[in-house]
Amino acid sequence: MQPWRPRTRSQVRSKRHMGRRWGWCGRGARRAPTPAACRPRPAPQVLLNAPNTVGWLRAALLAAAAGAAPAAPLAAWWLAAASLALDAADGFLARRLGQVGGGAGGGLRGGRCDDARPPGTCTRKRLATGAPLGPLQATGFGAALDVLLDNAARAWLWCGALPGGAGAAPALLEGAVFACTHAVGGARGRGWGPLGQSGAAARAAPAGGPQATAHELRPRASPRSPSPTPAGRRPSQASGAAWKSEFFEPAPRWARAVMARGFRSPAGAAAVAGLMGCPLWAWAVRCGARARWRAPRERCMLRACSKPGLPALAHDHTRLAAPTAGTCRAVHGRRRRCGAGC
Amino acid sequence: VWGWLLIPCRVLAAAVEAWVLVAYARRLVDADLAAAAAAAASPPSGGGGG
Repeated sequence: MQPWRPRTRSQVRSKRHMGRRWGWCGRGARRAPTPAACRPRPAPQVLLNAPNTVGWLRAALLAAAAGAAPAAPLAAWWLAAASLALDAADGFLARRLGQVGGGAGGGLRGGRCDDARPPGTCTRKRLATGAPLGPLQATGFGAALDVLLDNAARAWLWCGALPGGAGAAPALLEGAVFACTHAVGGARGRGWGPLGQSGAAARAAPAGGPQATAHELRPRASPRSPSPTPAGRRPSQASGAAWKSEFFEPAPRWARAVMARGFRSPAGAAAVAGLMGCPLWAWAVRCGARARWRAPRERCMLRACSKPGLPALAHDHTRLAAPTAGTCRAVHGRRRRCGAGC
Repeated sequence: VWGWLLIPCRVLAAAVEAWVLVAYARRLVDADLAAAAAAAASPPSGGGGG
């Protein structure tokens, strides 16, 4: 497939203008830049595009939840739930607004459009007709930020829900899976080899050499996925969805059932519900329901706390069940409201 | 009550996560073994004839 090149005079002028304005292709470039040369985009265009802005909003919501948890567990729960629910919004926005990667060259996601298309042709209409399944992210950075925020939100919930530091176990598991999957995707998309850029085996095993076994993480031909990675394709495009199909080819049946069609299957929906819902539920049971969502008990507690002269001890929002003096500081922010309303 | 139903779902997700970790570790080990085998099979460089 031939890379796109400007053919008409207006196309050449447009690309030259874009290259000079954004500095994609060097200063004073007289010739029309090729899409490969224009691929690096200005950082704000990546960091602050609509899907990634949703990511920053999710981070802000999570920070607000962490800050509000001691005083207002219910609000914190809703903030954390909103942060997790917005996970689906960024992929939707990426497809809806056409910000689906590609830089100056086309823009693509899930192999629907490719680098051979001219800039701007991966339009909303095309995406509406050819958008891949599942919440996808626009850029490689956005994909990493998305999963990182998911993991952060769930880790915070687990650490608040499980006693004795046991919340670190699911957080560690999810973090390790994040590292593994992105290592596989990065190795695939960039051709880094089995261990990524700095792996010893990557240096020891040249591409196509006798060491290229079937178990290596190098791109290999597969009837079900577009592999090997086409030259010039962005890593996130090649690795975002393709690695899932290839990585899970030797998986047992139940694992493939979970990963099938981007979690859009009964098993996948159950797994996602467990991933997202279980920490929310566990946190609510431990931190929220005991205090805020059992209204009569909390009212009693708030009345007890609203009495003057109680010492302000170290608070622990996980111990809101008992209306003791230690819990008073945890609900300090509501004392005035309760006094006015009760 | 319904929240307890989420636990098996989380266990299913954890099983997939565990499989991912094991599969990735196996791939790393296989790559290391293949590299070591290739290094052992390659003719030694240098050296002089007698």
